[in-house]
Amino acid sequence: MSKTCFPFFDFNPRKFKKKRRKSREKAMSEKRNNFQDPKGSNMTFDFTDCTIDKDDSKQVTLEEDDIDAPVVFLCGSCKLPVGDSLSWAGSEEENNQIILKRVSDNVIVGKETHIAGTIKELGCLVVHLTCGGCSSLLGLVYISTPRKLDYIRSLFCLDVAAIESYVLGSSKQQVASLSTKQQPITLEYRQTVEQQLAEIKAVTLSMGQRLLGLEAELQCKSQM
Amino acid sequence: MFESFESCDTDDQKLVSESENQAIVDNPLTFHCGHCNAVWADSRGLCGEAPCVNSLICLKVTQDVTINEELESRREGPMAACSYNAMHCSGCRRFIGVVLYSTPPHLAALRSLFLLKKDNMYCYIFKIGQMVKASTLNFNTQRPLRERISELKQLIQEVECNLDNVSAVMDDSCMDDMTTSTFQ
Repeated sequence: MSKTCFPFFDFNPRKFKKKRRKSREKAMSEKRNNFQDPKGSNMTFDFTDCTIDKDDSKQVTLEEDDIDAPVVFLCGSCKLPVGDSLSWAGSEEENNQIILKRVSDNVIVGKETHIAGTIKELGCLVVHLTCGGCSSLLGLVYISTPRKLDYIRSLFCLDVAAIESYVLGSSKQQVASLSTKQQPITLEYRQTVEQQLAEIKAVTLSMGQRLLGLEAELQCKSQM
Repeated sequence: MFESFESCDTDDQKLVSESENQAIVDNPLTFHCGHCNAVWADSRGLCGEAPCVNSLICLKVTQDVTINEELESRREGPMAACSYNAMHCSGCRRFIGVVLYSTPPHLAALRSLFLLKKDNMYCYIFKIGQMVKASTLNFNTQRPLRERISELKQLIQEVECNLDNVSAVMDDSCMDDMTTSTFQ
């Protein structure tokens, strides 16, 4: 399992091959840059933008499945899952934070509001996020922000130093003595095959229907 | 140590309806130790479950799983007359499953695979962002693929039969047309 040194900032579920969709990539990266650089002039990042991004990322994950394997984020001290990359909303390199739209129910959202510490965040009100398992501090939620920090309001900001991660499919220990032919198929593979079988079945059924129609038509003609 | 292999938590399984269950199983999942939360494996390497030993069948496990080099064996229970390498959680040192080495015929298909015990295992479900007991989920594959493929093959053969019929009718009518035109 990778430790906290995992390069969170390199991870981006919206990343995809440049060749295939250069123009879209450009637009996306502009959007990303804006997102990471809140100082950008007259930029407001609201929730509608987020939803558009989400749809895009969905399509991308279907196309580039292996590049962006889902990641689960765990509490750094007790390893309880705290969230995952399906609800990824960005990262803040400056504050060493990742931003998620949703966290697991292992994360406890504090009731007491605090005034944020750094100069950049001056005047923001935040609540703390703690781990339900070990009560260690995981991050915060901005509940009140000035205009320039609106893009981060009501999202879950997790402190990279307080969490660990595990990338799906990154398990290292494999069964050694089995050849691929002897190996049973995985549920994931089975699901793909089942889906394809269902598609073939649908096409065959419609072909059968059309043939029946043709047959009836021919019989009508021959009787005339 | 192995008593838990015999107890199958079937009550919990009934709580989750099958369709709902299937939808959950199709999603990304990670499997965690019920005691120390260490990640053992994930859905990418999951092949299903072996109800007879109440375990999940995996092709891959994380490095948080320690595999004993020594072979062990037992005389009773569902794994009677088997020899295996025991697996332990490296976080809390608890016994978590086995890799079967030699087995009687009914367990032969499970040899050399990671069998992780479902009791004391939690699943993190990405889609809903929640942890649930592994015993509440059913990873059994419902129908063998071979069955579905042969069903499809039968359907295609039926359509082919139909096609033959239609083309025969067409040929006949062509012939009829030709004979009538020559007589005229």
